[in-house]
Formats: sequence, C-alpha cells, structure tokens
Amino acid sequence: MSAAPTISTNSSVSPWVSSENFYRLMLLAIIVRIVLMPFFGHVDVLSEARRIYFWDQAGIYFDDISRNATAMFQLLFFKIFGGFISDPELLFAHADMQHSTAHPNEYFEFVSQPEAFRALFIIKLPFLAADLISAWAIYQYLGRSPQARNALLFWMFNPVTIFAFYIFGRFESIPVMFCMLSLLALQRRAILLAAVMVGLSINSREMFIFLGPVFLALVWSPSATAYSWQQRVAASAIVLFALAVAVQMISLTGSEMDAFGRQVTSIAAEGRVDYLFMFIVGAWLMFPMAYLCVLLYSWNSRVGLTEKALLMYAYTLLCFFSFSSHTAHYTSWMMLFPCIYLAYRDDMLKPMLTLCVTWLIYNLSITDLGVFTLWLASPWSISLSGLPNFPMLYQALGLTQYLDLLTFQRVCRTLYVASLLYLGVQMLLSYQARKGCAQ
Amino acid sequence: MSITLRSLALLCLLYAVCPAHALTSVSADGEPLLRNLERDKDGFLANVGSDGYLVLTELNKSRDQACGLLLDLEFKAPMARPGIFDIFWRSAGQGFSESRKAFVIINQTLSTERTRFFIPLCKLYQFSGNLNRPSEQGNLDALRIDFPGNKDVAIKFHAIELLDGSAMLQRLETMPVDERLLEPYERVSAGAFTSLDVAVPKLYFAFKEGLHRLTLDRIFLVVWLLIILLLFGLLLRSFRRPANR
Repeated sequence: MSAAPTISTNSSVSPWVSSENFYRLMLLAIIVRIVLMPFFGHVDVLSEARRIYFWDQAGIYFDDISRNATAMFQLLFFKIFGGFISDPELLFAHADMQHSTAHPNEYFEFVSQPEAFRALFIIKLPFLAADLISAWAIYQYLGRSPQARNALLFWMFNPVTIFAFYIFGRFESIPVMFCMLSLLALQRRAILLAAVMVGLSINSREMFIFLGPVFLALVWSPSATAYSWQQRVAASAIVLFALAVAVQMISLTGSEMDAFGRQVTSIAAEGRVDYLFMFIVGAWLMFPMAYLCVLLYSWNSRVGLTEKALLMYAYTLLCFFSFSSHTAHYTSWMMLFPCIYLAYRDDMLKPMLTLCVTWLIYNLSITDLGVFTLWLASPWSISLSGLPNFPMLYQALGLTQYLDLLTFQRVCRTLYVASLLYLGVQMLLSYQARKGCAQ
Repeated sequence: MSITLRSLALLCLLYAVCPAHALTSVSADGEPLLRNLERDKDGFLANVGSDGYLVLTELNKSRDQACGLLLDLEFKAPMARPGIFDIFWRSAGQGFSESRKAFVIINQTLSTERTRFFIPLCKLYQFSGNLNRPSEQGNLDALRIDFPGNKDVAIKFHAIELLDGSAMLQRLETMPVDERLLEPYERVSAGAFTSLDVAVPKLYFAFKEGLHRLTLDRIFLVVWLLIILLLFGLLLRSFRRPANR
C-alpha cells in the first residue's frame, strides 16, 4: 500500500479536540463499550452463540450459510476466549440445531445463569474488535489528519453503532469493518484487496450483497482505467465468486444441507428481500430505481475511483434505508459514511445529530418486543423484560387524543428518512466540492 | 383501587433485604386439576406429550388471603438447565390470560434436593396493574402452574399453600434458611407503569437485581473491573502529562 493521501477539506478542527483530548475521548469510548458489553443483548445473541458453539465443537470452519465471514470471525474469537466460560455446554448447547433460533424462554434461562455476564462479554469481543478496526481504518482513510479526529469521535460515540454492537448485540460491526477496509484498500490502490474485503462484507451480512454489483460497476468504469485489465478481471472474479456463494450458485461444501441439517437456501429466499420491492410510488419500485441510478453512475462517471466508491457505497445503503423496512440495528451499516464526510465538512454535524435523534424516535415509535425496549437489558434483570414499550406508554398516557399512534409513527419515519436524504444531499455537495478540488 | 398502605408495606418488604421467617399459611382447597400431566407410582408429575399444567380451582380467597404461594417441590432428577414455570391467576368468571400471568425460574442447582419455594403473588397483582380495575379486585378463584416447556421434568408437589398478607409479612421478616424466594417476572401493564407507585419500585428492584447478579460471578467481576480501572488509569495518567498540541 502507498502512503495515506492528505485530504482537502472544508472542515475546521476545534482546538478543544487536541491530541490529548482525542486520546482521552477514545479511552472513554472504549470504557463505555466495556461497561455495556455484559449487560445487554437481544435473543438473537443466544441464537448466534449457539451456532458458533456448535461449529466450534464440531470443528466446522466453512458452512453453507450466507454469513460465513461473520461466522468465521466470531469462531476465531470463540476459540481464543471461549475457554474462559466454565460451562459453555450449559449456556450454548442446543439439541435441535435445525431450530437454533432461541425462544425468549430459552434466553431467560441463559441470562439467569451466573456466568451470563461473562458469556455476553466474550460473545461481544469480536464485535468490539471489528468496531475498533473500523475506527482505525477510518483514521487511516482520512490520513490521520486533525479532521479525522472529528470523524473518529463521532464513530466512537454515535448511539446507532453503540446500540447495534453492544446493546442489541449483533454482529453488524463485522460486515461494516470489511466494508470500511475495502474503501481503505481502494484508496491505497490495492484493488484486489478491496475486492476481497467487499466479498467478505457480502458474506458477512446478506444485504451487503448490493455492494457487489456497485463494486463491479466501479471496477469497469472509466475511473478504474489506471488498473490493468488483468487486475480488473481478477477483482471482478473475486467479487463474482462472493456473490455466487451468497446466492448459493456455488457451494463451499458441496452439500445441499448446512451443518445444522437444514436445506441450503439462497439469500433471495430471505424474508427481508420482499421489503425491497414493497416501497412503491405510483408504479415505481423505489429501491430498484434508486439502486439502478447508483449502478449507472458508478459505471459511467469518470470521477476518481476513491471518491466515487465512497459516495456510491454510501448511496447504496442510503437507498436501502430510505426505501425499505428495517430494524433499528441495521442503521449501523451506514454510519461510516457520514462520519467520514464529517471530516470533509463541518456542516455534516447537525444532520448527523438529527439522524441519530430521528433514528431513536422512529425506532421507539415502531418498536416491538425486544427490538428497541428495556427487554434488551434482560441480562441485567429479567424484570425489565416485562416493562411496557413506547407505543404502549404512548397509548396509556392518552397521547393518542392529540395524534393517533399510526400517524405518529409515520411522522417519525418521515423525519428519519428526511434526515437520511438530507445527509445524502450533504454528502453529494461534499463530493462535488472535493471533485472540483481534485480536478 | 388505589395502592393501600398495606400493599405498599408488602412491596417495600419485598424489595428490602429480608432475613428471617415465620408465618401461618392458608392451604389451597382440594386436589389440583392436572392437564397433560401424568402421575407416576411415586407421585411425581411429568409432562405428557405437550406442556403440562396443574390448576388449583375454587379457591375463593381474597387477594389478601392469597398474597403468597408456597411450593414444596421435589424433582425426580435434577434439571440440566433452569426451568421456567408460568403462573396464571384469575377471578371467578375470568379466563386465564397473558395479562394475568407471570413466570418464575428455578435454577437447575435448586432441583437437586427437595426445596420449599416461596412466590410473592401480591407483587403480581400490584405490578400487572389489575388491582386498579374493579373487575380484577374479586376473589382469587383459580391458580394455574405450568410446567417448563420442552423439558423432561418430573416433580412431586409435597405441598401447595396460599399465604395471607400477614403471614407473608411475617415470613419476609423471618425467611427460613431452607426456603427460597422465587422472584416472579410479570408483564407490567402500561397503565400501571405510568404510575410512579409502580414504576419506581419496579425499576429500583431491577437495578438492585442486576447489582446482586454481578456478584454471582466474582472472577468475571474482578477482571471486568480491572479492565475498566486500567483504562481509567490511562485516562487519568493522560492528565498528568504536559500538554502537546
């Protein structure tokens, strides 16, 4: 890799964010993570831990699942730190792995065990590692500049990723890490490494599959002519392989069943795919239309590859979040991008804070059992699982006489999407400005 | 019905650190009805096919008379994992429903020998918010105890007793060492939770429960605190270094 490029920005650096304060705040951010890790988690944390434990016990490293990279990353950490759990069999063993998704009662059994805090802490170590690697990659991407501190501080303290990685407790930080590493590799002109990272992100989380075609369009655009055709073919082959694995055109094991004895299915059969085609305005399918625009621009534009890749990755996820249904922790996938753009423009801060607030209100308003409630604090006390959620309280407090719940939810959703779209515009403006600088 | 001083006193006692013991008790009348349960020759009840449960019917006890539940249980074989027991209650003319339901967890380590478990039912009536509705103030007509789902357990009920309020107060003051308080977890109604009388004790209890649970795995607690202290040490140390901007 070549040396990190310097960045041209319209962003100023607050004198308050000195190197000393930056170091202190980074330490504080890590402390916040360490404090949260043992006490929160969604039921899916147990489901995932069961699978990791099963693979660990069975000595399986590749399975025909769409999240192999995530599984391997977690498995690596479990092999190192799993020994610190005195009775993992009691916590994680499950008789019927075809139905490994945990039931709430099974989760309560799990969290009622004295070692539940320890187990949750260990389960989340890979998420912490991926989170910190992403932070490092953002800092490198921004040339370790003073402006990079702003970006990194927002990354470390934004409530969306803290919720997703440590309170909801899902593995979202792993695909995000690979996504960020692919951007860093592209910036350092390591296109094959970037392809590998995109491939790993696709095989970490189903919906990252949309980065695959964008990457291919970027590689075969006029922006990538600096690379030899052999490099472009090789990079494309890597990503095509990852895509083929993701949609089960290629089997890693050659079996029609996964290790749990379940029929292998393509991610196209994943329930959430339907949502991508359910947002319709008139006769237009909004996500496919917006995504096609992203693909066309990625393929056609002559702008520098690094800048274009950053914006097109961001827009791919922005389209997904604007025009499909998703749960609260998914939003963590796209927090990288506003953080990076914050280093370029000061005026990204208010839209980013607005996004965080609207994300919070929107998810409070639509929450269901266990997704955005005190239910997630069941490891601390199971009593919290029985507390009413926000929509229940909204009705109990009689607020429906002012605005019915459905309208309130729609208003919240609209505010959230408006924040996303405004961020998108800000990113575009920044992109245009930087494109001008580059030319 | 608003919260009475008596019920508040009971709640306060529940959340206090209570030593000691003693009380009188009110026994449930008659034999419980069994559903999907089979009794073996030694008197142990086990699930048959689906999840089994037993129902104590025609209790006709006021809420004060049915303030606590004492279960004297013996497991035929220790459970491999914790067991979750659902508890439903109802007044005459009502059915069993999710709004009048709680669950308790019996840890596998407590299933190794015959144990007397004590469940404070008053707390359930209070936090579910049903006492605020006149329809829910009627006498307790029936109580249902569900066996843990999908578990191969056989349990002998040596005794099932309902405890009245004064008996429960005495017991909470002098809890016998051979008895275990089983914390019931119930769904709190949104209406009840908007009252500080319910929200504050509920949140306070949850806070205390977590602190207590932290002490159950002391090795982890020490390591976890050491990591945090180390990071705080680095943080404090940074303030002692000369500024370098």
